[in-house]
Amino acid sequence: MTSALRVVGKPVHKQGDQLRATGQAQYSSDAHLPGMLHGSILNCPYPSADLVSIDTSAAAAVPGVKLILTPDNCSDVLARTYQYIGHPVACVVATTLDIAQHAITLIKVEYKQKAFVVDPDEAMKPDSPQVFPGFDNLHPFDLCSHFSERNEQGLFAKREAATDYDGFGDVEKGFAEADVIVEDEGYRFGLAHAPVPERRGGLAHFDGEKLTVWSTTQSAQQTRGYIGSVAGLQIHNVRVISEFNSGSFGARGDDTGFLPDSGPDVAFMGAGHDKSVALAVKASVMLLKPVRIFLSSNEENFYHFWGRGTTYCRVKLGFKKDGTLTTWDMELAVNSGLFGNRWTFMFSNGTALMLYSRNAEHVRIKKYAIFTNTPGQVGWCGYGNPEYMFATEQVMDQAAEILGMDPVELRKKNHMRPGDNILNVSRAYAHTGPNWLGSGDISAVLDLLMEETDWKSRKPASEKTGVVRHGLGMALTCQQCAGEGVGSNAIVKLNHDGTAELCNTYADTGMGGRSACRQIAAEELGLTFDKVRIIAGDTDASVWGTSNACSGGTMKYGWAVALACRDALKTLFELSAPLLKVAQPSELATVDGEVFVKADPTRRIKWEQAFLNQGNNDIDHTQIVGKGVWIMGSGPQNTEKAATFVSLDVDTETGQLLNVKIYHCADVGRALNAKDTKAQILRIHHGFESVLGATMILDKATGRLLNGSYIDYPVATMWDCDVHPYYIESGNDPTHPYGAVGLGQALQNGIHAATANAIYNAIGVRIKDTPMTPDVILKALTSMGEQAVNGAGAATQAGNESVPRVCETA
Amino acid sequence: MKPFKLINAGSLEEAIASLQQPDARVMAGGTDMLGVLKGNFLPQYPGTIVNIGSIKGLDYIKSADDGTLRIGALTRLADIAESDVVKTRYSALFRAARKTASHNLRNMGTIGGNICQFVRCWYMRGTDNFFFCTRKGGETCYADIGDNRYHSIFGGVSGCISVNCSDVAPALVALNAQIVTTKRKIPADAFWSVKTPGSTALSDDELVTEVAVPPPPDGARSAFIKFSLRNTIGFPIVNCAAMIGGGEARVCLNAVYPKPYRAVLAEELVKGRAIDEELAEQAGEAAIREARPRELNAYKVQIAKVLVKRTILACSPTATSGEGEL
Repeated sequence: MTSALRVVGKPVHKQGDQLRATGQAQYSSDAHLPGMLHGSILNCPYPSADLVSIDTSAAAAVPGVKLILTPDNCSDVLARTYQYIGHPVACVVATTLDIAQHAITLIKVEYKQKAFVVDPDEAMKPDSPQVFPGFDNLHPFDLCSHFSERNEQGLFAKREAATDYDGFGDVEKGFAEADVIVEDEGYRFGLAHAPVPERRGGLAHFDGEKLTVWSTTQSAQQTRGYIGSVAGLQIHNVRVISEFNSGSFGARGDDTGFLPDSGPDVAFMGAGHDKSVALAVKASVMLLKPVRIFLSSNEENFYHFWGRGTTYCRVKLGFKKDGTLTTWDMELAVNSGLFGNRWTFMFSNGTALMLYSRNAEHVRIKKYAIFTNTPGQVGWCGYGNPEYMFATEQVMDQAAEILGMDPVELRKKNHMRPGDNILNVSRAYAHTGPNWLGSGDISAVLDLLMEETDWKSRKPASEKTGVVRHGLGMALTCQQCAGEGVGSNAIVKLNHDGTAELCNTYADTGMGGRSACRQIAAEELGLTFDKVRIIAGDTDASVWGTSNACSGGTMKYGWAVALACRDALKTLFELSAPLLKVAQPSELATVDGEVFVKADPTRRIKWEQAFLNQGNNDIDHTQIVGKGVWIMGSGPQNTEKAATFVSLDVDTETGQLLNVKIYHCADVGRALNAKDTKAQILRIHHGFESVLGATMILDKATGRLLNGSYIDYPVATMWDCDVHPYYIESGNDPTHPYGAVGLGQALQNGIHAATANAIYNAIGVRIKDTPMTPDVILKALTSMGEQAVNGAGAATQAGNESVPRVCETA
Repeated sequence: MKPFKLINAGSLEEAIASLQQPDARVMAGGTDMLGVLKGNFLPQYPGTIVNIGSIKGLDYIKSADDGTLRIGALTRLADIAESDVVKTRYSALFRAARKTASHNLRNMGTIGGNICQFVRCWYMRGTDNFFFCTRKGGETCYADIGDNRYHSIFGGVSGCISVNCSDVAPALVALNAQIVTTKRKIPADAFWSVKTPGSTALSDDELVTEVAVPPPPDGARSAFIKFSLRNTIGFPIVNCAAMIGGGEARVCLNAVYPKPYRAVLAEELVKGRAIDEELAEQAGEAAIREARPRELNAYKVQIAKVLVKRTILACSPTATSGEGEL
């Protein structure tokens, strides 16, 4: 099949690249309309407060002020209780942004300040102030899943809702039967911010009949429903335009700032999120004018988009002597701030339930949220997995040492193979029958990176001397790319001149997914890439697609696009068959805008001739329209899988990490665009931010964010680490028309553990915190003597006492 | 950003006259002032910005007859970082300019502006004057009781534990430069001062016109090392410049104190002695002997010690270059 492909797999330019490069691309924040009004948001300056009174009279008296939204006239968006600094209180809409910003300063608000807590450790103490009165800050996440009805292939047929933990089997039994148990805890992942460059907001225009909203979103179709509910409109009267979107990395996947603030259960749905779009919609509906509200500073943007952070993680693994990983037990507590993101909890299941599902017999994963008076979490690449794998892939490293195995060999022993369980606990996906890995060869990925990093020459830390010490570490990563029950529509319109337009709602936030769809359409239609356009950034012109998140785009849209093209060709061939004098349309094929007889390619007509074979005038060609619908079922699942190796030097005098090189290899099934595939892997450097120093720093006394700027918060650049991108194409994934799997969301899942494993390999000390700043490394080095002994997790012998202890700690 | 009046001065005289207006602030390259204007962190928002970048003739690098290097106050850091004369004889300054910020910012930022920038403290710079701290006339140093991981390790000045974060400043101290103003010549040692909220000894109507760096003594070498999380684009966690040889020994740390910090105890140790690893190590120890770290910044003491050692070693005649690369 590969040799026959003309467009798929080729390094074509992304649609719109020229416009981006020349500055002509109109992002949502570039949109302006005549007569447009501007909004500015008043944010609460206290981390915990109730509204006592609000006086807007002075602000309202400012010439140019058109509307002031407060909890009094906009109670479905604006709350009266505030739970973090930055929580929206009111909004001024005026003829200019300057006027709106000035008027904001004239609003007099009386707050009743309340006790607050920003430190997650403090929040867990019994006498801590409660973020949600009546609820403990340590809040068990109870949207859990149990798996059962395992078939003869070991695949689970049934998933049931549970409230206690995710998993299956009996971990106590598993540990009783294990030869070696490895347990460790204390892993902590600092709160980290999704590197979203474009400020949040929207331009809303309600003309009395129809509402149009320009906004950057990954889920224009779903957002349409939310916007409609805020505006009091049905979906057909709401249009969302998001033509050019900046990188959003999953952080714009759940645009739920439309929900009113409430208790923790609503909080898990994403309430407390930025309200800018909802406020613009409200104002436009009330004023019948276009209203633009975008956050007006980077700092304001930093109040939102926090996407990572755990405070506590404990991992306990049970192995057979030969390294077979049978039992998995873990607990983790996510620092959720004001609101958890349920998807972050539900998607952070990529290890025992997928990556190491091959030999797993007993799994228990217990999750908690910790509420604090800080901004809440949104989704971000990995959705909880980077934090979770930061712990688990370090404990796997310790286990290898205890078992006397090479860390790579231990992974090879246990990683998933095609046909192994893919168990998702996300309510976004169904589980109506066994789900398994569609394709992939993780061992081949590992072999490639071992070769590239000269893994075989790696020496233990004990053999290293000198001020600067080199280390090499690795970790695996995986994540399911969408799942059962999600899908999309697609429509393709063939034009008589041998061109086509593809319509679907694909939010392309920089990864090139729209162009990949265009490549698939071109391939299916026998056209070159330039003969097809994709229309995907306007809900009026496109058709349904699930939120483009979880690197599920290629799976969700791939089949729908292919099916729409095949549907259109069916019509084209039916119209062509009489002209080419064949009995069956299936005897025909098309290339470059011509239809020909497969058995005799010299018999051919142009598309136009077929178009005109409908009794129509020769100036009235009409279009041929094909539709495609694709819903993912149970069975093979589209899953990203990769390995990250990190090579670095540790300056043992200063605690600085030097010469950091990141080697990442994914098995992509098939690379739809050779150039974009590598480019996608290059952005793994955003994972390095959480090594470098990127974490939320709050003043404990006031709750104020101290580093909400790009000076104080180091969003990584290409300068900060060298990335070596690789991919393999091990085989056609059955979930995609061209065998591709998603790529991107799992990029960062392994990098933090791989870095910590490399540091351990350099200096013999386990780093259990992110970021891994010089203070953290120096502190670890200071206690090097004792830690070198205890650094590897405690190994305990289990089961039959006659079984020799497999390995002592160093 | 709030409204303000912008005056593009055509001459130093016009600039000084314009500075008589209430709440007037000077702007050269603007890289620091833009942060002031956008962050609105001063108690009084600047009502007037006097742009001196419009004054002609203050961007030059030349050697005077007596061998003194004269750098006009409006000379861009990018030009210093590419100057052959600076590179050949004033290694510490050359490296410091090269290690400041990014290409874009070096193309905007001037040496005069760099040495006059406000101190670095995320409380002092908290937007909308959220923290009315000692440095702004308030009564509390919020860093003292808060997150001080990047703050002074040698105590405070006038109740402020912020740090001067210039990369160029310690190089000028080490090279024994003079700062020429519209009123006088100030030795680099005495140029920085803790004011509310300023960071220099300049009076309100005084402007830097030139930086004059004397020729290093025969046999002296200078070096500069910066330690930051992000190579040049990060502000220094600690940096260090030194000039040693020819009977001189000047070692200056920065980002460790509200002003550039002369490591006098280290200087005394190495002055007139042949530099070797052991001596440099001792000098590093001496440099931090009076350190008084806060709760969260003890690690900076260790880094300062190592930087002093490495910078001194980079000044050794046997060192391969004065770059002191870190």
